[in-house]
Amino acid sequence: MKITIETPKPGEEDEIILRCASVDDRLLKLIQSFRNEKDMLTGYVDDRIQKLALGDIFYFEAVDNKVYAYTAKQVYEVHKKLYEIEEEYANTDFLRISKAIVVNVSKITYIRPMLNGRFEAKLKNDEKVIISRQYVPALKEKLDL
Amino acid sequence: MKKIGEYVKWYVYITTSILMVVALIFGLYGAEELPGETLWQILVSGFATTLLTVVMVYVDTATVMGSVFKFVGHYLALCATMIVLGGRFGWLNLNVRGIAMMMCAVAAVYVLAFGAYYIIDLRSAKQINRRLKEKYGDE
Repeated sequence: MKITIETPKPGEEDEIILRCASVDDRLLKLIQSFRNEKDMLTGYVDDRIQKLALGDIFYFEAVDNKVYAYTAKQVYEVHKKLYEIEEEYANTDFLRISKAIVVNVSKITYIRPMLNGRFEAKLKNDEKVIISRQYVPALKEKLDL
Repeated sequence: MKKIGEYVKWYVYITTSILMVVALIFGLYGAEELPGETLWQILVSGFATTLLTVVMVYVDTATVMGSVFKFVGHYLALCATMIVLGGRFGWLNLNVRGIAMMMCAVAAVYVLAFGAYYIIDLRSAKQINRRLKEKYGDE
């Protein structure tokens, strides 16, 4: 089997193209492992290590040089920097909304403006997070507005 | 470029608010016409107070107390700027009554400009909420 690695043009997304006569089990496992790797994250809570599905995370928050992932009911520490998360998941529903928070936009129920010039987002687990004014244009862009 | 756009928006809201408050004061004190130089002075006042406002709007505070300090600090900075400029433009007598009246005028401009901005924010929020519902409503 020939393996070719090409560098994408600037601005293009990384892409894997498989050229094969038929998709066998070995290939399916390989595809699945790529998919899982992209959509999973390792979270740490107490002494446990747990694989987290990206879709279950409501938001990431940086507190005292540590980053936490918030799911509907549980909080996990994540051994990544907030800017790494922001960059790594830029093409997903995750978006930076303040200096300390990267939110899963698909988990926002609604947003409302506040009198202090910022916005408040209510999430589907009834938690509220603050959106700083300078990140509102990015949110609009994410939603194709 | 986005920051310049934001500055221009605030400049329009603040300068229009100053113009409205000045027109109201002139109306109350029975002045017949607005002197030509006052219009330029309003534009300069708008420029200075917009600079302070844009800086303030982008300062993030983590606590309620921080927000209160930010707003009080911003209001006092606006008052100080307008007392200095107003003094140079001959808009006020530098005594307790003059300074108190200028602080009231600044408060009125503050409410008008932030009120206008809040209405725009409500519209943005409505637009975003509609899109969120379209895109993720069923999840």
